[in-house]
Amino acid sequence: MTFSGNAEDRVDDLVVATDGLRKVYRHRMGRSVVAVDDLHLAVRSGGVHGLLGTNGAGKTTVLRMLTGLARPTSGGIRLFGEPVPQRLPSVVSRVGAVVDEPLFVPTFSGRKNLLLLARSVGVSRHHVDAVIGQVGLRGHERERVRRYSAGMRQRLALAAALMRNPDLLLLDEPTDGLDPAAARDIRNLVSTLAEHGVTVVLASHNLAEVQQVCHAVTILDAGRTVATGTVADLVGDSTVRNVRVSVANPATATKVLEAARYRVLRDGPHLVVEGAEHPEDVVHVLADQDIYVRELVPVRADLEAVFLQLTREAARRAEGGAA
Amino acid sequence: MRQLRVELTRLRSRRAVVLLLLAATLVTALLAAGVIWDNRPVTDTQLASAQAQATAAASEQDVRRDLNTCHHDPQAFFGPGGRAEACDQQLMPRTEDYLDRVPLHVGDVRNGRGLALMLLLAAFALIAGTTFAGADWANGSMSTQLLFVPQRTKVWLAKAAAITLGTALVAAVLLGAFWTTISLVSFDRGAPIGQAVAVEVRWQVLRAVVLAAGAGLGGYALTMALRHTVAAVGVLFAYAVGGEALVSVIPLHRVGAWSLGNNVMAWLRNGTRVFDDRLACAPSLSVCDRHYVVSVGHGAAYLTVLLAVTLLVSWLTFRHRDTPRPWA
Repeated sequence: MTFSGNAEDRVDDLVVATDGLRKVYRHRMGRSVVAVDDLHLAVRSGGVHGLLGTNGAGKTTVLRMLTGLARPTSGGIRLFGEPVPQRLPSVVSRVGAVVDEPLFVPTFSGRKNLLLLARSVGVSRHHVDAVIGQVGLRGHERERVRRYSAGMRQRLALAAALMRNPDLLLLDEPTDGLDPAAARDIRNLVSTLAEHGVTVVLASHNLAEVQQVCHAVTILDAGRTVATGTVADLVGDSTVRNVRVSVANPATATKVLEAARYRVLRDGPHLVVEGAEHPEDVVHVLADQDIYVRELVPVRADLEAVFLQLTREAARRAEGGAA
Repeated sequence: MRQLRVELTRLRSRRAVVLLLLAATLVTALLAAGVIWDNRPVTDTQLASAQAQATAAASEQDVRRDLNTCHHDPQAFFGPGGRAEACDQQLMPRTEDYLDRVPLHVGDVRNGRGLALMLLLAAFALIAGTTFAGADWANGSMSTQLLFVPQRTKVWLAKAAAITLGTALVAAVLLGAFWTTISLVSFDRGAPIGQAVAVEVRWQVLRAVVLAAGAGLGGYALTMALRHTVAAVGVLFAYAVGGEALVSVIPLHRVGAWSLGNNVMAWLRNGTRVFDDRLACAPSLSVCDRHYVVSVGHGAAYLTVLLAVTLLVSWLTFRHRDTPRPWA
């Protein structure tokens, strides 16, 4: 297996590396769905690496292949330099994962579920009790899992993932369905773990969360890599040039700008004009139609804007390719 | 061994398995109690009444006439080779004919309720095997387990060993309890089990324990392949019922040797006689025996091949297929 990632990334130095990874799900009626296509992923040691994408972008499938739950159709995976799934058993003790929905035996208590998993890998009861405290489940560990809220199940899954003091933590939408306080607790825990040297791969469609927690990000769309890099680089390199405009008659102004081939979004009483490389051109276009700008503010690119721009471009390329 | 211990804990913690264990214990107790009650000794009054009825019946005109006819022409009653000595034995009313129960006889229990218990325990083991594997797929915890132990063969083997050991142990304990109870009661009633019968019972219990363990293992393996308890039970039902139906309509001699039921009976009973109306008889015979024997070896080979194929398919499927996605 060869890896053709960034030349400066030696495969052995990477915690996670995939090369041309592809996964096709074949359904009974002969239909097949490409979930991941030609994915090159390189995650260095330390920090939080986000896998950002809409639902169905292939994030969970990537994590399922990294953990051996699904087999790649083609391409290669290495965790800590070892090929997966062939040598997964030799590195699995260094990996903690929450993939898919956290699923446990509902009729067992949370602690019993953890103890069964712990016994299968030789983790002590003492350590199980410690991680129960670490994820904030103390006081609920003897309740049956079927009585747990979504947040408690997520914490239980996190406890299971942390039981072996992993060097690599794979998290799949860890705050999905949680209330704001629980989501904040999980994000804080992820940040703390990263500060203590754990490499975290966090799959999410929550742009704010990724921007807040992740140091690097890979954006996926329809199973393909759209962009990868540090969050700062992606936002900084962005060609997103938007301006927020305030005018007396937004409806008329929108028609005028769209006629001039600008893309315009309503933002309350304001208009957001996308792709405005030269803001003065916007002012001229409007002034030509006797619409005078009260206020014009350049909008700083954020991850959301970058994500939307990149995924739209990818969709356009795909449509162009199909045509 | 560590994984096996975990799976044994998982097995005995399953509520459905505990309920099946309780049901199996209850059935065993009821069958033993039924045997003991139905074969309890008769009272002196009942015995005297039966003797009186037998004596009265023996003096009836119809009975005397039949006896005379039989003594003159025993072959008319018993076919070629019939002998006059058999007339009194067969036609003379006996005291036990007028009692509503017979003394406890281990040979009868072995082929009656003892056999029923063995079949029921095998059925319980089969269901335990399917529910043990099916629960992990149904609640999705299989994925969580594989995140910890990705060696699928190791997981599959540990679970297989757990269900095999569990069902064998339960079957051995319950059958042991049943036959110990029957033996003690029989001894108490002055009819201890003979050495030869005791050996036969031991062998039959051993074969029943193997059958229960195999049924548990087979149910587990099939469910691991199909990943759904109901689907596994459906396939088992279709094979058992559909197979019997198919065997009954195929116009071939001795085709019953391929029926699941006959092979199970052959295994448990150390060979079984199967009726087949398609068997030809020599015209010279006035009494035609249309039975043939399915041997214990045939039963063992049939069940072993069936189990081996199921295990192979199950292991290959579990080893190579992706675990299902919760939303799929």
